[in-house]
Amino acid sequence: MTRGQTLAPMSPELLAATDDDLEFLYYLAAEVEPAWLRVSKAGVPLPDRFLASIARDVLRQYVIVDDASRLLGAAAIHGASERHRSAWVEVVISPDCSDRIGTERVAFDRLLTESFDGLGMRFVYAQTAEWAPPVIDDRWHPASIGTLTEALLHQDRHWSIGITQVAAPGSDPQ
Amino acid sequence: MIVVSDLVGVRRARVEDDVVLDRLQHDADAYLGAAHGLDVASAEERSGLRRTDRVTDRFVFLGLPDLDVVGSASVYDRDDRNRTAWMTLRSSAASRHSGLAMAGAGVCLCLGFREMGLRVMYAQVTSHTLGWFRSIVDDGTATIEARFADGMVHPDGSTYDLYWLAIERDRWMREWGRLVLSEMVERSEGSVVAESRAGADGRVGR
Repeated sequence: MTRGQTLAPMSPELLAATDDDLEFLYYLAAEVEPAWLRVSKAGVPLPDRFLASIARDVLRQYVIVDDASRLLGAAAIHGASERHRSAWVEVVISPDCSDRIGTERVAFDRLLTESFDGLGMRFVYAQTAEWAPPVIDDRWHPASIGTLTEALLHQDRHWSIGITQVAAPGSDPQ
Repeated sequence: MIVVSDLVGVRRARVEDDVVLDRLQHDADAYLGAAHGLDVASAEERSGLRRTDRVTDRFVFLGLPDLDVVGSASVYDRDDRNRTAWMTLRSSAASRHSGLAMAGAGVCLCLGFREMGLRVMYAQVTSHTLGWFRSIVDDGTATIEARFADGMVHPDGSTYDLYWLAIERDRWMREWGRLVLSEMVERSEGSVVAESRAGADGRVGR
C-alpha cells in the first residue's frame, strides 16, 4: 500500500494493521500534529497514546485504505473491558486524505459495527476535540455524556473535549 | 515527609511499599465488590491494573504517630503539554471514612498544582465512592465532567455509574489548597518533590 494524495476516496475500508503498517502509524504520529491534539480518555496526547497503543491497550488496530489500497488513516478499538462490555474507539486521518470527514465517518461506522456485532459491547465511547465536527452517524444515536472543560492547551487557547457514548442498538436508551 | 495534621503525613512511595500498596488495592477491591460477588483480582492482575508504566508519582499516607500506611495516591497519565494529570486514591480498610486519605490527597493536589505545574487534575470515581468527594463537589471545588451511566457491571449483572471528576488549580488553591498549604508550612519545611530529587529520606517537622 502507498501513501499519497487521494482525491475522492471511494469505499474506504478498514484492514487489520500489520507490522508492515508501523511506518505509516509512526508517520501519522509524527506528522499529523496539531490535528492530533485530541487526547485519549486518560489524558495522554493522542500521538503518544497511539504509538503506545501499537503494543498495549488496543483490541483492534486498523489502517484505513481506499479502493486503490492507498493509506488514508488509522483506527482502533482500545480500552476495552470484557467485564463491563465497553470500549473506546479512535480514528486518525492522514493529511493526505482529501475527504477527511467522509472517511472518518465511514471508519467510525465500521468500528461501531465491529464493537457491537463482533465484540458484543454494550457501550462504545469516543472523544472529540471542540474544534472537530461530529463524525458519528446520527443513526447510531450518539449521546453526549460529558465534557472535559478546557482540557487542552492549543495555540494559546483552551479547548474542551466532548465525550460521546453510543449504546448497542436495541438497548434501553440512557 | 510532609505532615498536614496530627494524624497523617505524606511521603513518596518506595519500592518496599509495594507489598502494602498491593494490600490496599486488594482491600479496596474486596470492599467495593463485597455486596456484588466481585472476585478480587489476583496480585498479578492488580499489578497490571495499576498500569505502573503510566504512573509518574506515587505517595503513601502515613498515620501518626505509628507511621502505618493508611492510604496512597498515584499520579498517572501526566500530560505536560496540556498540564493535566489523573490521580488515584486508596484508603486502608482500617482508616476508611476517617478522612485521613482525603487529607493526604489534599497534599498531593497541592504538589500537583504547585510543584508539577498542573492546571487540572482528574479522578475516576464510581457510584460507590462518589460520596467520599461530596464535600468538594458540592462546594464547586470539584466538577463532575462526565457521567458514564450504567457503564460498569457487577458480576451479578447489576450496573453502576462511573464519573470523571476534575479539580481545577485555581478553584482548589482558593480555599482547600490554602488550608493544606498553611498546615504544610506550619508543620513541615520539606517538600517531597525536593526530597526525591535530592535522594534524601529526611523527615522534616514534628
